[in-house]
Amino acid sequence: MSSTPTGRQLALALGLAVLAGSAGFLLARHAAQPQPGSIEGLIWPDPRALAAFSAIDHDGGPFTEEKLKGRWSLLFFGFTHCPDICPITLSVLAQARKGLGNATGGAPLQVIFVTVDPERDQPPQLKEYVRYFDPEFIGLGGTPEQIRGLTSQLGVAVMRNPGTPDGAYTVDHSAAVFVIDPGARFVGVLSAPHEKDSMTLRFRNIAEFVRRAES
Amino acid sequence: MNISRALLAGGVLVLCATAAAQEPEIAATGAWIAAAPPVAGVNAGYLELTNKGAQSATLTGAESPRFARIEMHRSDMQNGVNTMRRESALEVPAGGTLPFAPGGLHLMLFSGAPPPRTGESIPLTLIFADGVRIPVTAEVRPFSPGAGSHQH
Ligand SMILES: [Cu+2]
Repeated sequence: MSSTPTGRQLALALGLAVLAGSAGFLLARHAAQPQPGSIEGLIWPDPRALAAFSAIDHDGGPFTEEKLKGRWSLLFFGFTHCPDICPITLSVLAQARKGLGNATGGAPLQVIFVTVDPERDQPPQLKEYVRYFDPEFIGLGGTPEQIRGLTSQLGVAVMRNPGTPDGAYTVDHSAAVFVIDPGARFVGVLSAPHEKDSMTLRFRNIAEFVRRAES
Repeated sequence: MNISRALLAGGVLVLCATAAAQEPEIAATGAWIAAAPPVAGVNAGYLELTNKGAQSATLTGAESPRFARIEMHRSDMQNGVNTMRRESALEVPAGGTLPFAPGGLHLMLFSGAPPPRTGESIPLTLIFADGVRIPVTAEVRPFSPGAGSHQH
């Protein structure tokens, strides 16, 4: 006995097919987006928006959280009289920056060096220092209070060591690179040691995850 | 008289030879200086010391006509925090090596005047506790892109 499907049966079948299709699409999307826990350095869910801060850029102009919006930022903390870890990290950042243009989906990427030694690192000193590594780099200084406004909310450790009689001193500081998204949210940490390929990969994974989560 | 003199001289020579054999035989290789922004006022120097002798040697410092002062420093990473401390003496163990490398030990070179330029060869003298001085030549070159990859 043959039966022809009624209009109602057709509608039901069509409905089920649509449901299955959406489920499949959702599953595929879910599978393609990695779990946040599998992305090294990602801070997710609920990344913290940076609180208001003010610093001085290497040209002597004001620099606030507003200048972090609409672009990706990599922040590194150090001081210009540091001979080893700071220049290594800035060299790696200069190399990595060139390969990261397409990780941000077209948004600009800025690399910011924040001094943990603002008394010695005045804006002209910072400018000459950061531009040696990459003319696009931004140096940030200011008063010690202004620098603390940034270090405290990112959890950056800063410890100045006792100086020698001639006034030389060094500053211990966190070696990580901090990732800020275009919403001025603290979304990731790239921990040391720094090397171009691993830094590029970790940043790319973090940026792509955040962009897809927001889309 | 002539014979005893000759014997005496010979004995002294033998003594000297014995002393030389027991002294550390240090080789300094791969010396280079990391180029840095002149405004930094400091550069890091790296090299590897190898002790082929049977006795350990102690490095106590270095000097160069190109720098106002040279210290020995150790960079380290503890809980994600970069530290740098001065070392007053460093041992090169018998039959062993003492590496100075990015992220670890470095010669801290202060106030190069004029600032070291990439490609320049700079003379350094390593000074040991027993008074031995070893000259080395270090070439100035930039940190390579992977220079930080061999930190622990
Ligand atoms: Cu040092």
